[in-house]
Amino acid sequence: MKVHVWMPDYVSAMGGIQALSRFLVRALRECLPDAEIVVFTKNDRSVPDPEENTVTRFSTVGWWAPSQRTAAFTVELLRCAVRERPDLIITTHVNFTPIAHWLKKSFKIPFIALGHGVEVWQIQSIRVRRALRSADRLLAVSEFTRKRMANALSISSNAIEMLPNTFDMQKFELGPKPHFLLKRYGLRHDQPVILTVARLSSVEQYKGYDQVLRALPAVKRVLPDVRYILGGRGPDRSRVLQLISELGVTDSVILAGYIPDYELSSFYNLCDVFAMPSGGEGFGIVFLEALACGKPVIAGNTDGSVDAVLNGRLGVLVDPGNVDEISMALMQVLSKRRPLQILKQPDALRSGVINAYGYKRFVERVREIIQPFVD
Amino acid sequence: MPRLTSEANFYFLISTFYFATMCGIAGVINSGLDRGKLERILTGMQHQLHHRGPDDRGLYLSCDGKTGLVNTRLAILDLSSAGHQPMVSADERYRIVLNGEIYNFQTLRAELEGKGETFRSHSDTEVVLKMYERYGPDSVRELEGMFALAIWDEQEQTCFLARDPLGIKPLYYYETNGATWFASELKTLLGTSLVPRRLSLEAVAGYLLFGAVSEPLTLVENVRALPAGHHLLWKHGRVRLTKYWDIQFDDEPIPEADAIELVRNALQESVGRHLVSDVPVGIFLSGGIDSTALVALASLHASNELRTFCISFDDPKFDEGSIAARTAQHFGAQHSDWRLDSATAKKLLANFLKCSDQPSIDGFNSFCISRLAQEAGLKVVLSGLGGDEVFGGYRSFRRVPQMVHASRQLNLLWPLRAGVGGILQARYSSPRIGRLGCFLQEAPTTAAAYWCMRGIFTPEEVRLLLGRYSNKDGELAPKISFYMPSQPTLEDEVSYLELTRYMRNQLLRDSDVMSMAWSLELRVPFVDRKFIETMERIPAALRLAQGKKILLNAVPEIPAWVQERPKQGFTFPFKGWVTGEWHDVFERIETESLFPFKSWYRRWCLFALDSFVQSNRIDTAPSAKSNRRLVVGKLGGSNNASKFSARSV
Repeated sequence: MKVHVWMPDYVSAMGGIQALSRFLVRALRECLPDAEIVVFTKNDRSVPDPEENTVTRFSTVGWWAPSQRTAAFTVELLRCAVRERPDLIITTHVNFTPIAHWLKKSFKIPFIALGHGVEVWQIQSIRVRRALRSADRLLAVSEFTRKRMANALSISSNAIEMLPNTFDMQKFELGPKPHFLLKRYGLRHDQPVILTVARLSSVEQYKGYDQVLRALPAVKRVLPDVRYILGGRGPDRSRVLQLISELGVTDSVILAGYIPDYELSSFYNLCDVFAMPSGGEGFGIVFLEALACGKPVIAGNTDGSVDAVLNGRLGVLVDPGNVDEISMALMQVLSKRRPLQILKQPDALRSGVINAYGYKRFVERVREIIQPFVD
Repeated sequence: MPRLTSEANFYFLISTFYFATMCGIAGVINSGLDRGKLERILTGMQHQLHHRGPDDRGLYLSCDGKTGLVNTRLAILDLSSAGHQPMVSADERYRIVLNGEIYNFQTLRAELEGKGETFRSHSDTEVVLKMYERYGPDSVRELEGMFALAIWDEQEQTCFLARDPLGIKPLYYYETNGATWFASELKTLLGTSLVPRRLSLEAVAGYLLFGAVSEPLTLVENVRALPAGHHLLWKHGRVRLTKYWDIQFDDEPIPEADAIELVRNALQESVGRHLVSDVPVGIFLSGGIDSTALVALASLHASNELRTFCISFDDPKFDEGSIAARTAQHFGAQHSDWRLDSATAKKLLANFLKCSDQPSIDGFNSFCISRLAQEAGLKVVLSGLGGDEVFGGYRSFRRVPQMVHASRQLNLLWPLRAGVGGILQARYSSPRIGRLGCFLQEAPTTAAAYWCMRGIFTPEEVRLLLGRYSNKDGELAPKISFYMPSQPTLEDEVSYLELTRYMRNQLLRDSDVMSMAWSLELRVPFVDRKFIETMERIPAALRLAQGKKILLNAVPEIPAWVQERPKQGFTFPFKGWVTGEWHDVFERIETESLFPFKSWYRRWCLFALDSFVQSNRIDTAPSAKSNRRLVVGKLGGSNNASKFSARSV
């Protein structure tokens, strides 16, 4: 069997779509050990050597100028699909679906399209909408995205299947607060720490770090030595710095900058609560990772985050627009006074998230989804 | 050609005092051998590592007789039994062998003492052991310095191996039947006779493409290098490899004055750290900016008289001796100069090959300068290695981005571009134009352009050469492009590649092996985690400004004659030697070739590989075609090497 998987990036960016795309490729290999799996990525300038038994081949056009890249990618997708005639195409970004739609019409190649977040909540392009309706399978990463996507396409949400995000349970484990980070930031072992990890960009302000900053003065009144670690970098940094100084919380905030992949689990283990009261999350893989480290999480109640915390059973849901509610939630979680018992049980948080979103479940879902296409 | 460039490979010295843990380490986890045999093998490994640490040796065998650690130690002043390795923890649960130098061990020790820990010795090894007892694998993130270590946990039956963030100290391992063998040198593993002496064709291809074996591969099949910035935990027969550090440049703009101050403070601190010692420390000094900056800053720190060392040549094109002497005099350093000629160098060549671990197209200069320092009675030296990689001292920093941009412009005309590339490759016999032709036929990635600048043989030539070593050469398709994590700018990407490929696989590896061959500890203040983490915050436009402007501004003490000197990479006059007096040694390599080699470094590359294969008795099965055309006797070049050795040892 031949499968072509189309994605925006495989390694050069680390967002929800990228994480899901990589897990999807891994799961496909497990479900189809003998298949030829070719990965096409649009923005990677270099790709890993095809990992043993995972990917048969990578193809990327990331070294084209951004203005020519879409055209180059289109040509590459068409060229390879026409020449190799895959048995199935899976695209992890809906913008590629018009190409898949054309291939389906012309060569009867079935395709699966996946909706992640904001890109499918409103779909402006008629071509994309038409293409999506013709997909053999439509997938959404969260209930929220499924509803919004169904709405945008004027179809029933039953026509869209769920493929929630997953995480690496070996990489994210329970652990003590890492000494090297306590030392790096001059923190005491018993000092309450709030953590957010997000790219600092004006288009991603929906991640809610502004709201946590605004909630911080109230939290400080109750817990004077609280520290808020905001990890991530980006062009929004100077505005964030200004906001911090306006709010008078300079001493309580640590802008950790870019957090490399290999230090991420240590940062989760450093915190006492992971807070990202986001208003525009497709799913929020970071919630899963924090939960796998046994940390309570605070998430927004208006987007895909609701799924990540099992509708409030695994974490606290707040209105991302309500600063008082956020500060109240932070104080309650940090002082362990929030009524939800599981927040005080790291093992239960971990097993809860593994049961719901562990990689094993993910592979089972992928297997069910591709079953009809397997010979 | 920027190979053997720069003062990174060049050398001169200062002096102060130091305390060392330099040594060789080796061991096995979960061996299935009987106790007596295992002990014999471990003793053999110790013997193989003797040159790395001739002053003390130790061996530990676990209660069940399955796990063993060995060490050979180079002690300078303190030869007390307290510093003996393998070192055991107070409760006898942990055993450690450590090769390297932990520059912040006194700070860490004070912190631990503040938490109630007590110490039995003054060595950094005990501090590392206590750190591991308290904080586990994460403890390596707090170590500043160069190290390769192994810690056995008798209670949990786990073994922890780790290597410093930038890969200054080597560590190789081999897994077989649930057992894991490890050692500071590849030769030590081969010496056990347990590792099949099979050549890794993938590694050979990489070596021929780039002139050095890229970690984690080694030239021996199934033997891996523990990658820099990684640790490995062995548990119940399974190993888990974890990355704990990497380079990631930032692009947040900062004012130039702040950047200069950052460089000044960070370098001054790094030099200070690297001067801490109980025995005299020297500095390898060339006519270049990096080593002069070290001497300038060391002269502020050193409590004792500075000593600098240099190698000079009769050929004025390569001679930096007079500039170095002037610099040394300026800073009041006691300067030594070794005027090396082709005939003397030729006499050293056989011994050099004997001391080599894995071959590269480099290393001979490290070998010579280390000998000079050792003969001057020094055991520790600082080198400016790394300055070019951090501050953009190579031509690649300009050329690679230019090539990538130009080739991208031609993307729309790619059939034309590839056609021109094909013609260049086919029509011109110059290696450089051949590589350019090859690049034009590929996707214009930074990695491919980098190969074009640094490469040795083209993939097509590599395929031909592989036939010398294997009849399965057709199964491998050598590639010039490889994966690298993206960085903010193309210049940052070049810096990343120089630091993680050229410097790591070639300069640092050769420097370690060649300095240890002379029982000399080489320290590299530019290759320091804290220093590089600070440099990462300076955007490329400032950090990599042409002519190392930022370094010159940060160290205004660098004299005018060094500042104003046109950039000239430090190199030995190999070209003249290889084609002149050394011609008889390299002749056969050339005459047996299916294609013209043209450049000395291509001859050297193949010569060094053949020498490795021959001296380590590595199995080869040359293809029939190559057997007829290339290999005379067993292996052409190697026979040469052995004849040569017999003549001149």
